Amino acid sequence: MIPMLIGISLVTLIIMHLAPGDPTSIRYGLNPEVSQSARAKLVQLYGLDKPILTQYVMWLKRILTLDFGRSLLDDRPVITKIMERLPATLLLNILSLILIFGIALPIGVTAAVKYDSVFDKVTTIFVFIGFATPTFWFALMLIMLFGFQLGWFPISGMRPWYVEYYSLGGQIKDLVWHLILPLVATSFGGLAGISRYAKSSMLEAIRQDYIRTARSKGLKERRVIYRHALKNAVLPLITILGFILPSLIGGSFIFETIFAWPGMGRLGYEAIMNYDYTTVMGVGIISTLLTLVGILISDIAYAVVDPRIRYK
Amino acid sequence: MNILEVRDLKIYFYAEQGIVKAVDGISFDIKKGSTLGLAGESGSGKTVTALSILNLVDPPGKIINGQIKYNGASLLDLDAEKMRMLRGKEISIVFQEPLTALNPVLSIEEQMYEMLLAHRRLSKNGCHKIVIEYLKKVNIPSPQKILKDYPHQLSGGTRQRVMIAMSLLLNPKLIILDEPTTALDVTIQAAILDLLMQLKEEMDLSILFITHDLGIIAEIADDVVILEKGRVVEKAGTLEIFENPKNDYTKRLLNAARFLEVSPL
Repeated sequence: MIPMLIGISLVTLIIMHLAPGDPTSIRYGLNPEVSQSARAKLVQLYGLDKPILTQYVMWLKRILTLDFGRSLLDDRPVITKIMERLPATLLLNILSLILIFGIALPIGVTAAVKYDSVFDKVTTIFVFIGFATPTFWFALMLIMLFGFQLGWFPISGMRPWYVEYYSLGGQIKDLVWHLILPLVATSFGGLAGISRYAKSSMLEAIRQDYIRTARSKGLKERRVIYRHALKNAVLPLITILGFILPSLIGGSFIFETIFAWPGMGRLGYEAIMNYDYTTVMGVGIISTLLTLVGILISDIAYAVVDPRIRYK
Repeated sequence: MNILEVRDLKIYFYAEQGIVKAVDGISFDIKKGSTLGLAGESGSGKTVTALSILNLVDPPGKIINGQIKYNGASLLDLDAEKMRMLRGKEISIVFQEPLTALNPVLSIEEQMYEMLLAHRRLSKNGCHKIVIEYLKKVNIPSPQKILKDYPHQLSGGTRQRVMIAMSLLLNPKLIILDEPTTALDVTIQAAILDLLMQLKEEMDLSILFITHDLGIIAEIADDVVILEKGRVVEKAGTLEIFENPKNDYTKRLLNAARFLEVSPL
């Protein structure tokens, strides 16, 4: 985990530096009242004149003491900025994950059990469309249709100012109302992929010898499918759970921007646009940590379900 | 009195490249309390025949013709639920490779209890007693210990003993053994065969024993059916076949066994 963190943070810093411009130009470049010497002072303060590697080592030293530094944009501590945004991102991603697996698993399993049926064919078409649709375009279409034309759901934001005057129940209702479009948009792509994956791993499980044994014992078909086959079929899906996390968190950058969702992804996007190096690095580290924690959780879940890799 | 009668059985596989006639009109009987050896090389239709008795042939395979009668009642006419109740209770199967035939993610305990519970109303305690009794029957030294184990934690021989114990749990009358010793090494093979013969006497079983090993047939079978490409080429008492094989294919099989210095007699 540690080498992974170092590698990812180093690459993040280098990419940021490869982009033309620097933080001082955004803040002061267009302001004629800021003198060259003032800019130079700022450059020195943030260590921007030093080689990248030196800057990286400086940053690393601070990170080891859990000091994420201050934002170059508004001088607030980066960690505070991230912590403000993290709950919104976690809320969206965890719900999206639950939605993806909660819907895709039954769809995939049913399609496998009723292979070649009408249901199977309809879901195959759905999966095709799901794969082929660019998700950001899908998000924009959702906003156009349900946000503007039908006006069913708010097009952006999470917590408008007026909810403070609502009761707790009203606040939750308002939150759910704001969540629906972003949730549908973020789940859509994953839904297609995971349901297809669930179907193929269920088909694979049904073909195994132990299914024939289970039937030969006179077990009811329900038990053969939902105990013997399903328990084996979910194993590869648990691995996939670890892989899908990075794409969800990466997707946060896009979807949170589209839906003006006050999460970490949008914070990262704004930081990149403003050459806010310290915030970008902070968001990068936290995203990486989240991903690694997710993979760790899926590894543990795998060990719980599969007795063959249980540690003694 | 025959416990099982198979008449003119045809099982075809409808593959994309055409029809494969896996079993093409075979007939045989199993006498009550006897052991019938079904022998033939790989692909001769032995396993498919065995599966068809319990209606376990998977698509694209299909039973297209014939009669299978168990104690005089036609098995092919049974509805799904009646067939389910017959599986394991009247007729049970032991498969060739116990590692893949047992579910890798379910404990031995669960796989044995569920079979009892599919046919009988029993408490957990009741299941436990019966399972322990049968695990002792197949000479597993400390049955308590393996209950919570998973298949991969057991040795090959123990796994197959578990499979045999499981197939006997409901006191079936007929047991189909589909190459039960092929995946085991020779010393364990002998022990398992001895065990099977002993259980047969003890529990008054009839056996359909499928193998390509004529040495085993000579040891345990009362009658032999030799299959080649889905057809019966010879059918006779075991002694007769070994002493006086009539069919050319049977002779070649016997010669092959002799060539490998596995003396069939």
